[in-house]
Amino acid sequence: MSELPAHPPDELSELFARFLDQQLDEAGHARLEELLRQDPAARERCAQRLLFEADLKDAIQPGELEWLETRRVVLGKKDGRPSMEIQRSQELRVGPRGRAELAGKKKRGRLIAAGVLAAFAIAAAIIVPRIFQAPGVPVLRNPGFETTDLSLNPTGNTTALIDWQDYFTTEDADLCEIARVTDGRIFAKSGRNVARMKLYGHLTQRLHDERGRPITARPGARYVLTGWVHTEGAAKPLLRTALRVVASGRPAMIQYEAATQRLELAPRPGWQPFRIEFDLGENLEREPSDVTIEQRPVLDLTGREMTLSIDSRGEKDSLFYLDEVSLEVSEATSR
Amino acid sequence: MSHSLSLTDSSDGLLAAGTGTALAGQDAERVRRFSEFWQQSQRSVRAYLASFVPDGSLLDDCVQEVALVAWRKGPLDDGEQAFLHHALACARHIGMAARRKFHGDRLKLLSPDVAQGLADAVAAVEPAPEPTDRVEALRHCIGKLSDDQQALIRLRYGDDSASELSKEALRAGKNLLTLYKRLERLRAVLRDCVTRQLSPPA
Repeated sequence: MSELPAHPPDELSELFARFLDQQLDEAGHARLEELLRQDPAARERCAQRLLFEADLKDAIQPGELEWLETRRVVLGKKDGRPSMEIQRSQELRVGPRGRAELAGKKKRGRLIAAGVLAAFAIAAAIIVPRIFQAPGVPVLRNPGFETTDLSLNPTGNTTALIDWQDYFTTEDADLCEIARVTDGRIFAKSGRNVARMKLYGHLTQRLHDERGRPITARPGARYVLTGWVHTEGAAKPLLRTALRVVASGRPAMIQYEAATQRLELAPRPGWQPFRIEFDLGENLEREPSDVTIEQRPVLDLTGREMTLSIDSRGEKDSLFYLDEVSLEVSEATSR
Repeated sequence: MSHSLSLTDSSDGLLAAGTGTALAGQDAERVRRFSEFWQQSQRSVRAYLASFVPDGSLLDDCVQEVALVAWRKGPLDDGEQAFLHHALACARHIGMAARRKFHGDRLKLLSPDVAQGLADAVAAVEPAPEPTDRVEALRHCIGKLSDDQQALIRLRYGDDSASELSKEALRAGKNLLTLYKRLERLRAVLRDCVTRQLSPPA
């Protein structure tokens, strides 16, 4: 097709085209603004031009909407009756999906190839020692709270804390992009997100090893919980942590604590590291620690699945942020 | 570039049979309606935002941010006009915020009053009754260009256009300004072609 348009361009067309291509010098910029300020017809023409640009973009790189809904359904039994837990997550994607997916697949292909080569090189060093490694090394899911992308969330926070709301949820703990919600006063210890813990807020995560097998209570087991906290305000928070066995979440809450610790946090600026040691001891018979029924049956926790609980206690209006949580087996474990 | 908004809804406890199906139906209707309204509105939204931030990738980000806010808060029960009105109001806030973030960096922006005047002119344009017709006509016209003409248009309106055009100028041994002038001629040709395509036959 000939590149000669039916109508030769005028001054406004040329200036606006160079503006859209970001090729306009200062004098041209000033002249364009003068024309747009003074002449409503110039504004209408340029508005039509912007609409045409939008059509061009759509013709070359059409935007797509992709709606993805996943449901996780856990079927089990509670108190001898069938029970069902459903978690539903919805995702709306906007943009040229094909390009993003293709880029992802290419990257995964390269990573897989590199991984296969590396596996042969290090297999002997890894596999043999693992045969003799004690089972039940916990691996926390979402330890840095980065699983959720809040960058396009209008408020920068959500009460959905993925992997930290097993059994129980609360409005007093939320996930936030801390730099946004504090207007740049505080940045995350790593990444962008932290857990924000108001008074009585809590996080609960079922413990699993790297193969997804539950971590169960064992006599003599010891664990170390580490992480970082950042206090806010003058009220003193208290970090109450526990390794618990949840015998029942609903309708009656019955929990047993295999080990628990309390740590007072000093209100001061900056991120503070914390380290908490749990020693389950040799005797794992416990009375319930949190219960909403009258009976308080003693239970031997040996072999029962454990959860990690992180609760906020302390003074009224206390608030702290939590990041980079880690749970490891203590080297002092007796078995 | 793709953006996503995740909404997680955790529900414990027993769920009556059939409730899941009803929820899925409501969600599907909501998605359908949003998709229809957004497809009708996105042209105006993009043009409106371009008054504030003409840059390609930043503009893309802003358009997607408007889409996501419109998904969460846009009115879906009051018709297309109400949805568009809401989307443009969001676009104004998002466009102004993007300007504050990037102004004085590498972008040449219109002064706020001029940008707003231009954006208002975009908002005053009646939405095209069948926007897909325009885009299809444009694709047809692009198809009539020569291969290298098409390639130039795709470079300009694809991802990372500024960098790609610079590389093309280097590769072709041409001055970048010459490439942009050629681009502008092609755009004028395409505008004329689309006008002829959409004009009723004499």
